[in-house]
Amino acid sequence: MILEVTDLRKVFRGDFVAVDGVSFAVPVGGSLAIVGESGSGKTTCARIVAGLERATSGTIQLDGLDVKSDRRARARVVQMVFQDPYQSLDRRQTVSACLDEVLAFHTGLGRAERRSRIGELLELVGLDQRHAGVLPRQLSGGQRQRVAIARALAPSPRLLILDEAVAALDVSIQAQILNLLVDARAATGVGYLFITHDLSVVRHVCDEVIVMRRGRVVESGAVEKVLDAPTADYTKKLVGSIPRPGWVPARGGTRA
Amino acid sequence: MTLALASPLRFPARRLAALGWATTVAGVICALVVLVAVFAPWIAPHDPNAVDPLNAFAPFSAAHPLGTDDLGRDLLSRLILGSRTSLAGPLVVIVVSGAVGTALAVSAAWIGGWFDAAVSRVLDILFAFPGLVLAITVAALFGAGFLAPVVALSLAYVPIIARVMRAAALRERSLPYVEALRVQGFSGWHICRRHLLPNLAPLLVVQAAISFGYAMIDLASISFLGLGLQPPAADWGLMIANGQPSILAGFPQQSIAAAVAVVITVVAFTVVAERMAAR
Ligand SMILES: Nc1ncnc2c1ncn2[C@@H]1O[C@H](COP(=O)(O)OP(=O)(O)O)[C@@H](O)[C@H]1O
Ligand SMILES: [Mg+2]
Repeated sequence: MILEVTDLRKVFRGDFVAVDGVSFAVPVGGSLAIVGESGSGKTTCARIVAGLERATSGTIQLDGLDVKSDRRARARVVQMVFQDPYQSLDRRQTVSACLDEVLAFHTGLGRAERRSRIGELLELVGLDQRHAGVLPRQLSGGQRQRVAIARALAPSPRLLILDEAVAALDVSIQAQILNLLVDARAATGVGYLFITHDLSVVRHVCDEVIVMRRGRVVESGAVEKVLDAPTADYTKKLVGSIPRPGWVPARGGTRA
Repeated sequence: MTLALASPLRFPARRLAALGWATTVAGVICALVVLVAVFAPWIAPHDPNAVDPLNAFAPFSAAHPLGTDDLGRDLLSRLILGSRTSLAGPLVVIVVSGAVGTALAVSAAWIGGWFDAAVSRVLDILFAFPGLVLAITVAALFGAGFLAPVVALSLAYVPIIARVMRAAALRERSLPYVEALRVQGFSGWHICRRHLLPNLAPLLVVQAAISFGYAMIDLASISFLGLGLQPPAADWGLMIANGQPSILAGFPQQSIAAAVAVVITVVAFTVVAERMAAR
């Protein structure tokens, strides 16, 4: 297992239990979805695994690594892609500077080697040298999220947390990014902790799924099993709300 | 209050800033003033300290375009040389208060908790002190001259810069890219130095440029009160003060020329700064 979370609890402000005894695991190169309505504690779990938040209790094992070890070592095991592609990149930093900073920090590569590695990373996420010298504001939301994925993959992590990573994107762009994630996992063997409130995107990217409600896991298992034959009432309700084919997404602000 | 002294200048400056040509003119004036200060000894037609009692209160002439003062010194030359200390003082004030204020603001915003609370409290206390009064007190205690008022004013300007920068640093710090950098394993020092500061730099430049005008007026006031540079130094604030007795004698050129130099420079810098702030 690359990630083993056992009996995780998070209590905010002394009395609000956001995560209440959650356990899950991601096998090496595996892909686990955490689904549930907004407010069910998914992001809190992700932030604790990423080291952005401290658990109230419970254990987290990352690749056998002690999670209290230094942040640089942790960053080489687990990386994260955030929901908002518009603000998760430094607006003053070009794409290549952004990737180079990470490579210089995490790898012993020289300048020329980093340059070629940047080329590889861009290619991995479906961008090319034309995008290397531009600033985030010159990119679309989908392209920015590709850069964020490239940055997260730069230290060659074993686990990538994707917290609603496609939620802010247009539906057609979502599909592209989901395909990219499938390809990137095949190419690099990175594992995913894929967090979403939208069940319709789970099947494509994940092997396993846990369903969270009010900080607890209400159902877990293989994606096919849980989505095709849900047992918990809550899961049935969630599955029932997945849009059917022919449903027209009502979204504005289309940007490719 | 330090700012209250210069605040009447804010509004005309703002309105002027809406006009493109005003900004251009202001920018040219700023550049000219700086050039004059840099090349002052080469530009000045006469030795600014050459006393010529027989030629005191000379009227405008080709040799003395602004006339001479009570000691027969060439006013234009004194005005030109005076631009150096008159610009250097506010420059030191904004560099020192900008550096200290930003360092305090960013570390307070980054570290947060009790440190932020302590820094904010100290800034509030400093803020409550009128900067000019502080500077005058320090100059009175440590002796008049260039350094004491400038150091005191730098201190007085720290909370003005720090307040704005802290609010901006808090906003910047809460952007998702900062968390992304933390997940990347970068240290707080690295994130502050390589990401927060460069993103805050444009705001700092604007704040410093706005403060420049205020600092210039404050320092001129201190010189005027006799607590800044001492005669025979050429300094605009000092020239305004030294020209006073001459006004009674019917020769207001010295005070007027220096006052006009201060006002034009302050307005020009403020217009440019407000224009930058509006972008
Ligand atoms: N820093 C925080 N302080 C207090 N409450 C929080 C904090 N972060 C999240 N919460 C609360 O915890 C609950 C779970 O939030 P979150 O993990 O973001 O859910 P999800 O990602 O599933 O939408 C929510 O009710 C939210 O309001
Ligand atoms: Mg969330």
